[in-house]
Amino acid sequence: MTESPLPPTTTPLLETISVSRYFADGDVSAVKEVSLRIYAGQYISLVGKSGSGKSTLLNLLGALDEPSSGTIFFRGEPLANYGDLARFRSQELGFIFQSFHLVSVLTAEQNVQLPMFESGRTAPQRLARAHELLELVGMSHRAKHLTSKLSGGERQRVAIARALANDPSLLLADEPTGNLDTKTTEEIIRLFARLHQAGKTILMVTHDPTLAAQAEITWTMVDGRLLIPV
Amino acid sequence: MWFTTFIFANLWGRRTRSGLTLLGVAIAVAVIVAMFGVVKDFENSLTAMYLENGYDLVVMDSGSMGIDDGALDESFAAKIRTVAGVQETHPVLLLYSSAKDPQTPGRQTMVSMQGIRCDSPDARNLEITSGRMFVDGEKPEIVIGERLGDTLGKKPGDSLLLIEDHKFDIVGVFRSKNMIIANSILIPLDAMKIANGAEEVTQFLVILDPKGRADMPRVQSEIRAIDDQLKVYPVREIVDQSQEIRGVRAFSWVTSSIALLIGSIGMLNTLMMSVFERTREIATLRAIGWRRWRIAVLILGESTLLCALGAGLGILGAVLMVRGLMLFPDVGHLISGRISLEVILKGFALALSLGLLGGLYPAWLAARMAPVEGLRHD
Repeated sequence: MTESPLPPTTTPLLETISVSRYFADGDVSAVKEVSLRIYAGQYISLVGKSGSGKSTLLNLLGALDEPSSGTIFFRGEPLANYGDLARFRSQELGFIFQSFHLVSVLTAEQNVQLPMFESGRTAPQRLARAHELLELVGMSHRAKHLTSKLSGGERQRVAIARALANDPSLLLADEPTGNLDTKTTEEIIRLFARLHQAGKTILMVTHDPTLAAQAEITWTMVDGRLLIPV
Repeated sequence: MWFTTFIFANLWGRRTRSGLTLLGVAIAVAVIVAMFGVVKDFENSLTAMYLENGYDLVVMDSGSMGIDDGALDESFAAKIRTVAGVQETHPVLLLYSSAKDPQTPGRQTMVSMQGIRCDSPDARNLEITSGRMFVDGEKPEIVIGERLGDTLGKKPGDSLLLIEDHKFDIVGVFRSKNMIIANSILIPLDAMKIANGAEEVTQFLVILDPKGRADMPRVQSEIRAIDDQLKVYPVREIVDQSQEIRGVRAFSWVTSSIALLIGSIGMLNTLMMSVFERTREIATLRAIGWRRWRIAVLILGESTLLCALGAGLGILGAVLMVRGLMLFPDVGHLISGRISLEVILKGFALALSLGLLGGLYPAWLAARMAPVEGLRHD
């Protein structure tokens, strides 16, 4: 089993037991027998070469995909017990993508409000929360701008604000600085550091050694297998 | 942000495509509303023409093709009057024929002509605004509706060539709120028979007494029993006997079906393209927690809003089209230019159904999208 070097005594926030994911009728194995534990408050980076299975594992952990075998637990409960996985994602997870995946026809503040449609907040509450989060990521001055008019770094900050919208237990970031220049990458690194200091649990897939070094734990994937932490 | 803001933003963000789809829906709705509006308008006027004068039944020739066709001997009138419950029977000769100005005989306008007697309710209730009412007999006199007078530029003292170019003198102009009457010519029945070269009339209009109204099926049956040549309709059913209305209805259905089909395909194509183009966006929404039904409502909301806007634009277009038709004398005299609320509401409901139906499949496709596959989509 691959574990954090700092095993707390509490129940893991997220745990997998022998999770595998096969494609093409079992011929291609993207993730092989991965067992891991993520505890609340940890900042973990997941590194590995292209095709090593990092993103596939992230999709499995984010309940976007289902494992071919093995079990994923959240707060000790198998994910299957959550029933509606969309609701689970809405309440517990925040996603940050390499290509931001913002809705281009909406403004920054409108994009941040999107996850909150599933949270039961009223329209004024959604707006107030969006402003609060845009302030947090330093984007309040661009709240009314269409995201198609924003720079890459600005878009990623809006995407981070969107990921925080429902105050998720776990932030899952897939190459969050992959499309950004060095200066903007540094800004995003600082932002993740601040979120971690604020108590957020973060699992980040990255190629960027600087970004990976910011995390307190680094896991490596090789050919679908998660290696013992370095 | 409201959910509807997102729906509107999606349409506004793709203005060109949304605009073209909206135009397609608007054209379909405009065609449907205009066509059925005109038909309904004509039907209402035709029914009102009989009802306004208190008629209950119309007796026609069983071999006739429409309300202005047939050849009934006038002697049937006396026999019909003997049926218990019948109060009055009035022979009418209806013709839809050309009217020409003697000064410019090359120009002709198709008009509705009614040969009646002065004791009929049509004549008794007539409001003559200038000149006088004609006199029963064989003298070629006519009174014309105010609207027709305006269209033809005719007034009392002028004349017209009617029915095989027989010259008739205009002795009066009358006013009527009914657009068919206001655009028609009333002729003494005997004078019209001479011009028409036949003794027969096209129909008998029957007024019943209260007992007859209470037992209309029996009265109809007894009138039919007088002769096989007679068929009887309550006034409210007479519109179904009009060949013109039947023809226009059929044409309206065919045209509207084509318009509807084109509108549906346009809507389906737009939404399919929209869903396909937004695969990653929809997958992202699913990833951040949107449930399937919310995605489906988003797509259906877009199609419904598009159709509602298209319907609004189409109804406006239909009103303008019908007003435009009024400018053509040959058509203008047949319609009032009004579109009934019933037709407008049906047009709107049809457009909304189009939106919902056209959006169902794209909405289903979007809702069942697996987020992980959608996020990989390039």
